[in-house]
Amino acid sequence: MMETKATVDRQDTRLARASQALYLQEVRQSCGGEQVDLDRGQLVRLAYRFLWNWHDAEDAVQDALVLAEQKRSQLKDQAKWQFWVRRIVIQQSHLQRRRGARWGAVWARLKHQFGARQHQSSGDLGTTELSRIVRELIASLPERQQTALVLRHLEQMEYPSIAAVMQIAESTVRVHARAAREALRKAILKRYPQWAESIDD
Amino acid sequence: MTDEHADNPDCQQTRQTWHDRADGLADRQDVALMQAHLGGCPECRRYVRQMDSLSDTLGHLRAASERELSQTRRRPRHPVWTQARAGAMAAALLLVVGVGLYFSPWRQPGDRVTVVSRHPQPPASQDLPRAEPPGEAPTVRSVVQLRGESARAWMIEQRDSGHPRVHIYKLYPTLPLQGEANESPVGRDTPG
Repeated sequence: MMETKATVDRQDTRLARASQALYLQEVRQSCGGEQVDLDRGQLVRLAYRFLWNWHDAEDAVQDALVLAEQKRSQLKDQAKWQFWVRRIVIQQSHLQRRRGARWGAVWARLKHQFGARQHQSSGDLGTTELSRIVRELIASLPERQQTALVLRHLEQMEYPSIAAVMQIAESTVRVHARAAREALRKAILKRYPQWAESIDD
Repeated sequence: MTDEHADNPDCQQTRQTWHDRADGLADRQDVALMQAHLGGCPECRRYVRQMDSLSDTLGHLRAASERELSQTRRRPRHPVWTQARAGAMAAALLLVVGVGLYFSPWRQPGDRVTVVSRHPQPPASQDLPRAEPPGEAPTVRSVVQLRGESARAWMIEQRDSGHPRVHIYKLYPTLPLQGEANESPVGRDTPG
């Protein structure tokens, strides 16, 4: 019974993907199709910065592009199409991550506890290991701080562009980015006190 | 680690300058003031080192994610799992067929077919059915002997069915083979 349900779910997913692909093909034939083709790689890369999984990022971008085209009439200034699509991609990425976090919360907690114990015993925090930890800690930040930090430091976007994507003031973006950096520093120190000693002279 | 210096205005200004510098907003005067403050404040020196390390780590994370992206794009979706699943299904199928053949109900333990004569003499005419139409006389293929629990010699008779690919075979119990006849004087057709 379970297998049959899983098979039906997979078929439904394939049908949904196929219908979305056909819809996007129609979108490409209409105005703005070239923009979609040009930006898709960048959008997947953007979603990947939030999800750290290629397939999840592709799914998020696919959903975001369909959603963006469905609601395109709500966009008053068509010149801001690029920012608008990026904003929807980020929203879909957050949504996808929340879905994954909901189902994998227990596993993530166990993994985090095991990993924390392992790193505390090792005492040495290399650059690669620190990157992995920072990646985990970024995911635990509030969504606005996370968005500002990712767009600024991983996507290397300028603050005016980030403000256009997030639809907030540029100064507010700076506040979020600074708060995110501070939060990351404190989180690393709280989780790995040896980090402070490792970078001292 | 305590952070009591965060309330000091000079320390606050120093930390703000670090963030402005990271965002490309700090001017030379602010940076000079920050450097002067760092000379006498170990707590802010530590703060700046930690923030510099964090900034480097974010750059490393960005480069690492670029590498991961370029590697992931070349990989097909779930290739290992698909191959493993196909291999496991093939192995399971072979296992089921093998076990089924071994415990087949048609297989007698120790039974085997041995062809003892390829071209024996035709059987006696009284042993054959009489209803054969002329011109379609049966052909005696061979005499076989089953050994094991059902040890016996059989004569196989082949008849044409009218279809080029369909043949009718009939089995007739025969006299004991030459060697067996010598071993057991009481044969099937021997009176007594």
